[in-house]
Amino acid sequence: MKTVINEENRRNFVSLVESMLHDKLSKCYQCGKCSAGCPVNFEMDYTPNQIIKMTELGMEDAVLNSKTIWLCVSCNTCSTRCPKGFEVTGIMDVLREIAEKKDIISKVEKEVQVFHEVFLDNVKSNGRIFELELVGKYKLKTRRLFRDMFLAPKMFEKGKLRISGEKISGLNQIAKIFKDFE
Amino acid sequence: MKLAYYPGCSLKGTSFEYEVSLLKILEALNIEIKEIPDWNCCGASAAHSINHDLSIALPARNLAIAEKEGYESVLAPCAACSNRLKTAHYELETDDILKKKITGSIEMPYSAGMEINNMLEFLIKIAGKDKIKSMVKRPLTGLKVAAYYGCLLVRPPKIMQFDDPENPVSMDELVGLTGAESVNYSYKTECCGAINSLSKPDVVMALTGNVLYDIKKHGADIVVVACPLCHSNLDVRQREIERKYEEKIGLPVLFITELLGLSFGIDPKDLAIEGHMVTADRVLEKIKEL
Amino acid sequence: MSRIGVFVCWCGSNIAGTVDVAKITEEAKKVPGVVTAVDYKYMCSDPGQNSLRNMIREQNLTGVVLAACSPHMHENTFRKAAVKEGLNPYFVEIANIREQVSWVHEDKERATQKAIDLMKMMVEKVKRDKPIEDVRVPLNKRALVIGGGISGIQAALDIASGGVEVLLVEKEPSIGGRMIQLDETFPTLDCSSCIMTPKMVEVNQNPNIKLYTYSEVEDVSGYIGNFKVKIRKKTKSVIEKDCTGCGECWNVCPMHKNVKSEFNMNLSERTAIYVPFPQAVPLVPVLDRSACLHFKKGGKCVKCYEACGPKCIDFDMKDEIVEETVGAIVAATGYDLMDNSIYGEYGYGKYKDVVSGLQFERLLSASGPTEGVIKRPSDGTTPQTIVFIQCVGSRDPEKGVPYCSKVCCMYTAKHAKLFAHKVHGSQSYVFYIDIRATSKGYEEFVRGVMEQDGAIYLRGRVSKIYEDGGKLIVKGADTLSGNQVEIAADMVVLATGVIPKNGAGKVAQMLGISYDKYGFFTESHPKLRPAESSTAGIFLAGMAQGPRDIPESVVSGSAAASKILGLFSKNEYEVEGTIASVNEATCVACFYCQRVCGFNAIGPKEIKDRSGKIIKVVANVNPGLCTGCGACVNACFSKSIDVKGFTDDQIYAEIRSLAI
Repeated sequence: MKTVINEENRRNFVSLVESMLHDKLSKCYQCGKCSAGCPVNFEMDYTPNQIIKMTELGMEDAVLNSKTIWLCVSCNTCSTRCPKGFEVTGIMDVLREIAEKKDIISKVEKEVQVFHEVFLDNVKSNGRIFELELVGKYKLKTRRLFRDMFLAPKMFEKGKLRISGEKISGLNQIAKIFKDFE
Repeated sequence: MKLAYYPGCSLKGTSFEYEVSLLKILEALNIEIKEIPDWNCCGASAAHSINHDLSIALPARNLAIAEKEGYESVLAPCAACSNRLKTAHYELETDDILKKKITGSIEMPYSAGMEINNMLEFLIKIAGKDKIKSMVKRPLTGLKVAAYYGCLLVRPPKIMQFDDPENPVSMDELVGLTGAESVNYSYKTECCGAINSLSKPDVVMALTGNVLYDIKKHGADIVVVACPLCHSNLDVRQREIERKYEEKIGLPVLFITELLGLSFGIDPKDLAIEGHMVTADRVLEKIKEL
Repeated sequence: MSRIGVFVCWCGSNIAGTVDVAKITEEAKKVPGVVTAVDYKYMCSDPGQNSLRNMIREQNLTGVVLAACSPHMHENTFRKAAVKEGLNPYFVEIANIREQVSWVHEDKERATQKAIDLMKMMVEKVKRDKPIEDVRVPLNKRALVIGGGISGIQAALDIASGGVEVLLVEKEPSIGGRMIQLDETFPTLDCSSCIMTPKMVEVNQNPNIKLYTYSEVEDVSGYIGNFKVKIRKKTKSVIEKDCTGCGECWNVCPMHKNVKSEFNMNLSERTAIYVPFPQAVPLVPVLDRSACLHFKKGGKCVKCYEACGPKCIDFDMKDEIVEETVGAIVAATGYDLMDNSIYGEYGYGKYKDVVSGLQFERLLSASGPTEGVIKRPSDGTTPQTIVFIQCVGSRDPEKGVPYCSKVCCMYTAKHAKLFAHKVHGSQSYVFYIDIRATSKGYEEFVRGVMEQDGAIYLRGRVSKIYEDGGKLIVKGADTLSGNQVEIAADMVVLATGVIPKNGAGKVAQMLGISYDKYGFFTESHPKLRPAESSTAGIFLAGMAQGPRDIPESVVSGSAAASKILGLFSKNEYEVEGTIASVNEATCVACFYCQRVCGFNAIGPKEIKDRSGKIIKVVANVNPGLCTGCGACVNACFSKSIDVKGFTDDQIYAEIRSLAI
């Protein structure tokens, strides 16, 4: 990939990320400790340390459309071990949030993104998670109707899936929170 | 001290066994906890993944209600919930601007004085090891148990302030109290894939498979966990992993509360052990013979 | 008749574990000339040494052989013990049966046989040993320092403070070297001239230092303690003792646009009569005759002469040769930068705004062509974006040099920092391969440049630079993100590799010291004798030895000085007696030996009869220079040279002993 660095755009992107992250990208010295311990590195298109470098270079499109930001499961192994105390897990949250706010629909990891969105919708409408509804909506949205369906009968049998969900009484408060921050 | 209880969504659904068993053993230990009234979902990984402020506001509402009700301590047995509550608490404590924004939205004050405990912390700090030990009526001698911590209990250490992030021992100590032997293995704190269970099942099966096969290799009879998400991946996905990697695992996955309950002599039925996808029958037989 | 004693050491189990020491002792007793042989657990211990001494005394031994560890370990120990019993120290020989036998072999039987062989060889050698006296050389307690940069200055000041007279010879019109060209210094950002000029002034004022500027050492002969030195004082065309440094002369010189200033790395012009920089020491101008109108146009222009109050311009002045005698020399000839133009892709020489690291120093410096305001050489505007490229020439075995120039990582970081401080809101990009920041405070400094000053470091190389609309488009790679990047820069600074000073090789040949394939002077031992050259009495300092930074250069200058003061603390210099000696009766004066001698130790000697008539010329070994390497022995066609203690006769006897 080739990148023409536009200094103004680069600085804008870097300061947006840094202000949300409360950390400085320049702290990273590219040792690769994060990528070494990342459990999902094998599926990523860019290693975590590459994401940091690319963000510093202002490669906004590439990082916001990367698989990496959606594959990160926030296990925090990277941040725990980072010798520079850089918020590696945090930058993934920040980049996902920026992508979300810019309405970038991930082409490569759409399902992860949809899951997060459906999950929050579920919280918004019930105050709590109603698992059956969550799974159903997720499947409709991703058109992955049959994946994992074989698990359902036994889960019902074991009592793990409830037919009806409950709504909390302070739903209006939840609605306000969503209104304030969405 | 009044002890609040934040069950979280999983304990009311797919991980109901966790709630059943923890209530049972706390009853045995004579510790009273009260559910936070009208609690809401903490937002789990989804909120912090795509909306930071939401990920603080949702748990903050629960903490503020608990505070209003006069509680000083919250038990959040779900590792993800305790992680999110602790994170919200930490950020509200350290970032005044954020605190103002959040309390304004939830329309409740929060002094950021709440103590938040995960299940292991609660058992060790509040119940106490001596008391737990004194309750052990049926020591699980000879049972080999792998304590699996996963990520959210110990990381990030700056916020979790619990145990050693690379080499945690608290769950192993609890296992030791039951008379069982805790097995040493390499994947104690490796991630199981967590929230991506539904969206990236192949990745999750690879990660969870690594953990399960490592435990198996080290000769454990069962696995114990203190996280519904871990439980779900290790238990619910286990058959599928066996099929994918064409190698039998057959490891029952119990919540730590269930293992303690068994050692207390509580009937497995009362601990909802039959609610797991991987049957624990053989292990229960073995325990019966002890 | 020889009376030899053989002493076999067990060295605990080090030798005795692998070699049958009793058998060696038995075999030794059978060798003709051996009157006694014993083995002992630790020969180097006090009881072991006492038994050696007792045996020498009681048995009237004429020589001893120790079958023991390497002579590097205890040869001296045993020689001292022997001397106490009145034996010449060179009658002690060591058969190394530890490093060369027990530690490297497993088969006990064969190892023992090899140990016996080595012992026998040494017995044959010691039988033919002759007493050797160590050589004593008288010392002229004066020192010469070649090079007036920071390491030479440090050496001169330290030697002078020890009360020893020093001659400091500098090629340029002023001392100060490269360091005085620098702006601020890493990692503490001391202003270079602020910390350098006091030292320069001190040199000028120290009564023990005789300063020769605009001068070059032309010839060196002699040896430790007694070097004869010829110094050419190039003509300055200015009578130094009368000059006040007022500047009237250079102010009126009409040739102010014609010559590039060497001191400002060609970024500005100087006059024909000039001082390189305002703080020059001595503050005396020199007249560059190649640029002077007076010399170019047949004596027409005399403006400087007319302007000079004390009338100290002398157009007829000639070069002067001074001869001096010194006892020790410090070679501190410093460094140059590599030629940047070998990298066509960087466009150095083609684009004015692609500059070298030293040029950028001059742009930063308050005494520089822009008075410390960073300006583009092309149009004088202040750059907002600068790309720095590290390893230009360094670590490039194909086009440049294979070694690391050591200072570039740090000075580039410093450049980026100073740029950020001087031009607010500016941006640096640094292309690097590795960052080497290994001294005290260096790593923290480089991190600070990134984290506080916002320099962006890109791990990778630049492929091309071209001009487009007043910008330099820099194309390169960032290997960490795996991307090609393109940056529109206002300036590019090349961190050019360092090479030995032009002419350093010639200086080395003149001094008879060894240098490596790049031209850096080599140390006598890279770890244990870092201040000494391969030739006794000649010491090394500064970048002439290889890339190093200012603190290291200062340390090396002080090290050379302390070696010289140590040497001069005695009245004579003692050399081991195992040096070459010429059989004057058989020498045919072919001087092939002289040609192979790497230490300039061999010269002609005239043998005269009583009337003073030369009857023969023979080769003669200078004991102050000879290291006893033996190259001349091999070269001698008439077999007239031997190294004492290692004569042909002895070596053949050793070999013959194996055949018996």
